[in-house]
Amino acid sequence: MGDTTGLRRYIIIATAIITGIALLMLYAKADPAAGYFPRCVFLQITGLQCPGCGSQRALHALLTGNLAAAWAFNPLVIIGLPAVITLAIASSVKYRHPRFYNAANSRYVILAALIIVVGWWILRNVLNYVKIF
Amino acid sequence: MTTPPPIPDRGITNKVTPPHIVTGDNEPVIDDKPQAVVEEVISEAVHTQASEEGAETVIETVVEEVYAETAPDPVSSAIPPLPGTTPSGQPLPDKQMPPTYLVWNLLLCIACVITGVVGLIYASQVRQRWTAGDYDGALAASSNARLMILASCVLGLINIPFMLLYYAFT
Repeated sequence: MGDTTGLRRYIIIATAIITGIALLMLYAKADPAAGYFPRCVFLQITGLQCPGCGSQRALHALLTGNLAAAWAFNPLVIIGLPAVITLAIASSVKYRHPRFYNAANSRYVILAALIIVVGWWILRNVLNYVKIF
Repeated sequence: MTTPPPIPDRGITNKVTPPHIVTGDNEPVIDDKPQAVVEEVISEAVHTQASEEGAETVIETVVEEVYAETAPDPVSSAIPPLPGTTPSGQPLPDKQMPPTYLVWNLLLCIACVITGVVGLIYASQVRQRWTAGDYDGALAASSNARLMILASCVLGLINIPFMLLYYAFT
């Protein structure tokens, strides 16, 4: 029983990884700025940028190897994606490494994420009108 | 033993005149004998009942039973356990911190969905309340954080027709 469930789990994980890589390769080929890709609802309704605006173009630039362009589109992707991957790993090994999960879900990590996201949200909308740099 | 003195019948006691009432003679008639007899009977009855062994043991056992029911178990009351923890201070397996859904809400923030920010606030609430010992509050915040993920999925589904219209007219 244990072997079959473990095997099934590995098959599911492998399928997910292969599908993800295939989708990413497809995404590297397509340009989100030109094609039919979902646009930010918040930007269309309010005219203000949300913290995630430009993440698709940034991801595309990241997949094509253009790190500077990715940073210019949305720095939050470059900061946030490693954080998301780390947190996802921490959640998946919650019962094997409870201390790692506890540290990843500590108060300071959550508050830092909240402050970075909200701060970036305010900052980028201010920067659109006031040219500081 | 001595036979109990006869209980004075009502007829006599009712006829007793109160001592302050002066009758025809100048000498007040104070007849306190029936009263003394009644007091004697009562005291004797109390004495005999209290000396009965059966009644005493019955009362004792009843008191013991009531005390056993209300008094706390000496074993469990020896170590007062904190809510949600074992005596050694470790959180119980069924009282672990509810999931914060931090990964999903952060991913939503990056993926251009506003509800992710609200979900982050709820995630911080989960941690805060759990640290404060408020398990039910942490559970409520956790379910709210999950609700934000669901809400963003629903918003995305609602967005699809509008997106198609947008591409159709531009």
